Amino acid sequence: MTGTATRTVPRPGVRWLRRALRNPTLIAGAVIMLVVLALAVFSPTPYDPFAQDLDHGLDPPSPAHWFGTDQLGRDILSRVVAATGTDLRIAVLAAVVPFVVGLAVGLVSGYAGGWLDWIVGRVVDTFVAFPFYVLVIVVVFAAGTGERGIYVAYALVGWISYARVIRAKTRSLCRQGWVEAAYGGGLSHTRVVGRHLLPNVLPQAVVLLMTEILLIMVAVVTLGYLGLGVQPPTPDWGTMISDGQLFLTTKWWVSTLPGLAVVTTGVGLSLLGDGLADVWRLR
Amino acid sequence: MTFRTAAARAVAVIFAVFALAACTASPGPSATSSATGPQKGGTIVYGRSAAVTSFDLNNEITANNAFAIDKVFEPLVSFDTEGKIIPWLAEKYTVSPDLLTYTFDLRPDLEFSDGTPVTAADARFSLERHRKVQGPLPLQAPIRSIVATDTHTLTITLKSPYTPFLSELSGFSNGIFPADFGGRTEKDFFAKPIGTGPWVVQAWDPNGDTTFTANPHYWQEGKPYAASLIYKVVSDDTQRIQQLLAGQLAGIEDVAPASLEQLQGNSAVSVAKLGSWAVEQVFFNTQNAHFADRHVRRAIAYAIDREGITKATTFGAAQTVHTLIPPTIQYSADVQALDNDPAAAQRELAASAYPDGFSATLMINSGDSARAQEAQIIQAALKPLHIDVKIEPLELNSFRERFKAFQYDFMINSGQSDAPDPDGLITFQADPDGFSHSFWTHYTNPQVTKLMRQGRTTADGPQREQIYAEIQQILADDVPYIPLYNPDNVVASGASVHGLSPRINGSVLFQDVWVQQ
Repeated sequence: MTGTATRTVPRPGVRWLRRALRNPTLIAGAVIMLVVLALAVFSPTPYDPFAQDLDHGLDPPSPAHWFGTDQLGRDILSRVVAATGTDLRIAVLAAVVPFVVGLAVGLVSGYAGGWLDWIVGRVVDTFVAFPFYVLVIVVVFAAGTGERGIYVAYALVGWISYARVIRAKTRSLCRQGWVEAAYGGGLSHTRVVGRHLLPNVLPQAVVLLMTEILLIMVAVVTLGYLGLGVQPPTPDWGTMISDGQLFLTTKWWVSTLPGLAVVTTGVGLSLLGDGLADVWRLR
Repeated sequence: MTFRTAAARAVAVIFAVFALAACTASPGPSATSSATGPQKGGTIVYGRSAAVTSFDLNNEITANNAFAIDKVFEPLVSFDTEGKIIPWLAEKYTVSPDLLTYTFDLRPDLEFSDGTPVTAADARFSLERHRKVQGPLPLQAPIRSIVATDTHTLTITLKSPYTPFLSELSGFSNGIFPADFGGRTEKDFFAKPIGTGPWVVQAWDPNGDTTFTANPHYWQEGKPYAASLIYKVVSDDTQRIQQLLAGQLAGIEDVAPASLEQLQGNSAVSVAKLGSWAVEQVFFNTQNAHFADRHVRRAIAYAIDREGITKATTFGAAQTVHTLIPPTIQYSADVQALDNDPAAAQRELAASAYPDGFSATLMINSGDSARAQEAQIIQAALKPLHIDVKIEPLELNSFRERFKAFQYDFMINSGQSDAPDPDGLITFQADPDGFSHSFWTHYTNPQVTKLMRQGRTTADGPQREQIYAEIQQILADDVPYIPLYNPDNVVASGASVHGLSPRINGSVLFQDVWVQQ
């Protein structure tokens, strides 16, 4: 039976959406990322990003080539757009395993506590003590350059940040009465963790995921810049920036425009993460 | 909150990427007014792409060692800017009319860097040791005897005429050192070598920098001008330029052509660009099943646009060539080469054992920005032939280890002559029994070997020219390698450094360089 309440309380989803629409940070981030995502998915390149024209290398930006051409006469705009797909795909794919593993490790160790928690804590400390890039570069050297190396590297080291954050959050939730009540009410451990704890830590993990995708993307670009990432001729922002650095002062467009693409995507992901945190009231 | 710091970190990394790239733009050393005449003293810090790994002149070949060895040891004769033979440690030399006896008169008062006088016996010992060692640049001449006629006269007798003999002697590997290594063991001697050269090794790290001090006993009066010379290893092209612009290096070798415009527009830097004896080439490992097939190699030669490669990667600092003997060396021929004809490439590949294409790895050394671009051009050019090329950039030492062990499919490398006669290049690149087994391609052609031997014994003139023209045409048809271009030697120096310019072999005579104090 429904009452004739004068003011219905909106469902949580609707409340969330209202808060989201009032949050300019989230909207700005979402708009940028939608555009980037569209570029990545549809890849509307004006030219073949691999087509070389050795007679028209290093042409400045013009109506025919909005971003100019690179040393081998390839259209930079087409390569920047094609690289969006490459770099974003690698970043998202490389973020999946760490997200799942980190979330599981954090939940289990936080919930179980005791010796298991202690061991996970020490493993996490050990990884944290290493400089991040040194670790990634070592793994890439061992696993081979290119995409595979990046996936392996992130699967190995990427879960650390999730595990730390989720473990702390789970630990604090466990001290709250409702968790004990759920267990006391006869629910299994799996059910408590899966149905009660997970939904409460997920927003935190998703916000972290945005930041991680950004970090991985920057790492992919950095590895490309160092020659350890995506291999030519596949377009990648990092290798494009690196290719242009010899003539940064004379042919500025070769490095600068791919660099702007990195910055724009980075800002988009940052804003999205920040906005989500605001809306979910994680602060 | 964690993600706040993470986001800040991310932004920091983005800017770091930009900062890395932007370093190129940092201001160079301020220009100083030029004083009159050379000044004594000071240190020249020279940025090089690889470390000096050995001073054993008879056993080395690569530029990293050659251009350090030639600072310490000097040959009897040398060559000028045009590649003409000139007297060096020998004040004068005479050749008998039958072309069999060579007499060298050493300069009087010639001393090693420890002050002991140089005698003909030292010269004899040095050349005899080279004959015994053989090494990568052996004395090929049919020497009957080397005799120290008196303290200052050395007489070398040949069994039969050998045209490139003086050219051979002018190479860095025929430098003169003390008889019996000055009473030391070989190992000890080459760890702290003594020679007649302008520079003395003071400190040396085979994995890093080398420090030389001026030889107080040097025979060229008043030289070297500078008090010390440091070879600093900076393997990356871009890093070297940045360090030059930041004033950390006084000069650099192997200037990347892509940076020429930037450097030439900078008043604080002077760039010296001169012709070289080098030829950039694509080398095929003919022991590899695919590249053993002559048709495959010919197809690739047809597929590649050498003019385009030269234009896109060398920025006017090189000339397209079609033969391994660069135009700076005698008898460089105008060969009929297979070049830039995609239709002919298709036909050649169809005639090969691999008409449907194959996969191959193109090996290059990392840090060389021009080669990285060349590799991408070749990769794209072979795509229509369904030859799927993977580019493998390797650090210089592993790169060398790999090709010397024939562990590669094909590679981009550079052939470089050490002496002005064409025989040196032909021997190094086409003699299957030589040290390099045809520049590690293992290319074998008895006709070429026969002509190569004829070239050594035929006196200079139209007949010898004909022999080298024939060799070059065979090589252009057989394609064990594809010559791409003859790069200029380019070095750059800061405003306080004067007289820094490359010789035709790429080395720098640092005794002529002086530093503004």
